[in-house]
Amino acid sequence: MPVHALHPETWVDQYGNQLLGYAAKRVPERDVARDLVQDTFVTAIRTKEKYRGEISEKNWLYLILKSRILDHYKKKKETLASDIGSEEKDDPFFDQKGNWLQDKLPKEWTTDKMIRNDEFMSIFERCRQNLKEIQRMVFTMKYVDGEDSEVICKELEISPSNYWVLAHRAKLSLRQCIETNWFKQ
Amino acid sequence: MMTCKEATEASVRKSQGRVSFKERLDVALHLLACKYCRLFAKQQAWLDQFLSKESQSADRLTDEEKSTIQTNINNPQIS
Repeated sequence: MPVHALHPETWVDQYGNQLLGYAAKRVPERDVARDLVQDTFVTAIRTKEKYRGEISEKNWLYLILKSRILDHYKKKKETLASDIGSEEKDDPFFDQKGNWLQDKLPKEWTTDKMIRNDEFMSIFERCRQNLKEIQRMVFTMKYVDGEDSEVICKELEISPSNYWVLAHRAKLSLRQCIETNWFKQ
Repeated sequence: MMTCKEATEASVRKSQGRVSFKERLDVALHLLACKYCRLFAKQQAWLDQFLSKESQSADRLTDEEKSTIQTNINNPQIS
């Protein structure tokens, strides 16, 4: 006897926003995020015979959405390899000897005003959105989902060295973007 | 001596607990000598903390989107 049951007629109202919030943190284009949510509901209905009621319908929907999002990134694997390669040649932060480029040198920060400040939050959010999408996905898996680097590599099917290149670039870009926009005064 | 590029990457790995003892030493030496990588290391660690605490501002579906999705679910041939 299954513990949980499915109520597809309530899904859009009950889980639509939560699932969209989850997808939008992982996929930059809102339209794509929304389509992935819709796709999740359609897949769920199509495969509802496979639902055994062992987990709640909400968790089941999240699992489907998550695998949809990972599929979305796996389709982009080829562009990922060429992105990593091209930035290796033309590094936006360091010269060929590995020294900081003059205009990218970090400046001193005073961080006390940043916390619980709406303006800072909106700059921060914009800077996060500006990350290249795979970097953003890595960031979200790391900080929102709290996953280990091994898990992230496995799920996105990327090598550990590519993971660290992405994590390094994401931090450099986020730091730079915040500095440029917050400390411009 | 590590380059700035290597030292900053090692700082990122260090905050996720993925550096060897030797690397830890090399980074420390580099940071002693390099003010900019020291700033980077401090700021990226601050960002780490901020990122893990950051409250999740969720996006929402409009009523129109909800009804479109509902229609599409009810008409499987569309997908």
